[in-house]
Amino acid sequence: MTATVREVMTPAPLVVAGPDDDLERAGQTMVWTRVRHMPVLQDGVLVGILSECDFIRARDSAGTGPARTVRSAMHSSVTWIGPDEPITSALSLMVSRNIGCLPVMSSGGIEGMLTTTDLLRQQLYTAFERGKSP
Amino acid sequence: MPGWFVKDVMTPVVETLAVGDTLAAARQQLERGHIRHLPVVDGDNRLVGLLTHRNILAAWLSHGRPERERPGELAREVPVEMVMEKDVLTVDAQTTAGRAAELLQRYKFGCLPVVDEHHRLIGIVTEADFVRFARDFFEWEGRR
Repeated sequence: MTATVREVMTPAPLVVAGPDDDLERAGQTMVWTRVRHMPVLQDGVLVGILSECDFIRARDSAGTGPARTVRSAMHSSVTWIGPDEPITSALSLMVSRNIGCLPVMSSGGIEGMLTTTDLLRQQLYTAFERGKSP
Repeated sequence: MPGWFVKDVMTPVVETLAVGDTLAAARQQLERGHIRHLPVVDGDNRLVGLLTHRNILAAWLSHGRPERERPGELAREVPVEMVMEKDVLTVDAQTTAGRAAELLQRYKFGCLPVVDEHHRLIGIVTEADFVRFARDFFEWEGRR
């Protein structure tokens, strides 16, 4: 038996942004808090994810002009997972889609984030401790 | 975690930067390869630094002036050695996988370059490598 997503994820409260927040300010928050992905919430509802990569891509393509918002850089098509799913499902999703984080969603909204760092902290040890060949 | 070593988990390096490459070239390479880390090497393939998304993000935030400068144009003039991490923690291929995972987790690094005894780059080990390794392991275990 492997653990569930809920047992490994970083639970809410999370470092989040709003879609109309200033993009520069969101980038500073990512650097200060050392997170690579921020859920973007509007009235408590997940509307996107802003990653370091999104921020840099937006800045690369930016011209001069007024400040940009988080909405202009985030990606709104988000792959998520339920809290009671087994970690093995999360691992498969992350590898097949080449993503580093999964928002954890239930009917009540966002419950947490599952990142590669969370997996490294806990679940990955299982594979090594059992000492078998994959 | 006896039995597993960095050499079993790491990705052999295919993408690197050279001293003098521009930030714009680095950005293209990161984007094209869908990667977050690029080792910077000298002419003898010795590791001299590491460029990550976080380095670029921090550089833009501390130096960029979005109201007046076009970041894309500025990036064509900035060499990677101005932005890269110079004090880089490395491991060798015989380091245990457990030790590498512990270093990644403790220092919140996204990757560790793997070097030989002459400090020449032979690979990198990332959190994503460990995730892939664990996925393969659990799939293998499920088939038994």
